[in-house]
Amino acid sequence: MPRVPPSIRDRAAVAYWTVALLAYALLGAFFPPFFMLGFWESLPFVLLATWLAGRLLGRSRRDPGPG
Amino acid sequence: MSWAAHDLEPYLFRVKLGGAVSLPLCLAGSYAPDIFTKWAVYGLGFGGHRKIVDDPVQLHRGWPGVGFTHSLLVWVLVAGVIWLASRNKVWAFSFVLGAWAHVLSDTLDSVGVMVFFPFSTWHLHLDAWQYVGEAGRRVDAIAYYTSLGGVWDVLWALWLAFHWRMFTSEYFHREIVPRDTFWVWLRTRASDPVMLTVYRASAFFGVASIIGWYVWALFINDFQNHLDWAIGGPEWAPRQGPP
Repeated sequence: MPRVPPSIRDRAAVAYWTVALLAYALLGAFFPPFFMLGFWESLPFVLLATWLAGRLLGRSRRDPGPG
Repeated sequence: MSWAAHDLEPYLFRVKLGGAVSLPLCLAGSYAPDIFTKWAVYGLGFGGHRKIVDDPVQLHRGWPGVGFTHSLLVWVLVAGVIWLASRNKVWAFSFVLGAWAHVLSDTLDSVGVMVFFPFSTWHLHLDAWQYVGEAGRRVDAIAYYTSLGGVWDVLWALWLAFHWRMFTSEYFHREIVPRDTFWVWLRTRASDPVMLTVYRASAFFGVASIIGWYVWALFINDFQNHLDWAIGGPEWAPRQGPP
């Protein structure tokens, strides 16, 4: 895939997912049995974060979408 | 045993080998060796205070036991079944690749695995860190993330971080979906956020859990909350060799 310079939207997406990752990590650190036993425990959080990312950030202009 | 490495390895295989790897099948293979036994190894409850079996090490890695789930040949046979059922070579190859990565990663602890079962019950164990599964999930988490096991996980996460673009929806729609019939099938049944969630969840969990376990083990938990990167560590853990 050809490399193109990251746009403001791309940088915002990286920041958004970094914050989401750290938020989940902190939840896990304080409540390990509810967040850290397996990837299935993260599914609701990742689904919510993915849905919210679509609302907040929109789609990259290079993204062909689900088609 | 390895922790987050099993969540992350399949993504690196996908990014390095491209369309030769089906990520969902590779993840399924990576989870397969432990899927029916880990709960019994740790016992009920986070502290593992309610034991289910008398000898968790024998169950998990031994024979008699289900140690054959940590051998190479058994997953070739399962991949053969997948190929017969699906006629999809990529799926079969991806499954066995994920399972073999799990098996070989688990050679790094002090119990190791019966790689050549059923031809031999000899355990390949490289002793980089102690196997502490028999002490329950809580103590195992402390032992693993304060020893070189945690470093092993961090290395996979750092390597994956260099490939962060593979987690963009653009990459997913352009490179992943059209090259794997699993996603083409799922596209007719699930929304785009659900597909992206299935695609990203294991990597998200893997990286977040490394950070979370480190924070918990070093700053929240009050038992042996210090790093010990000696080979075969941590020193305080009971020595546990092959069963």
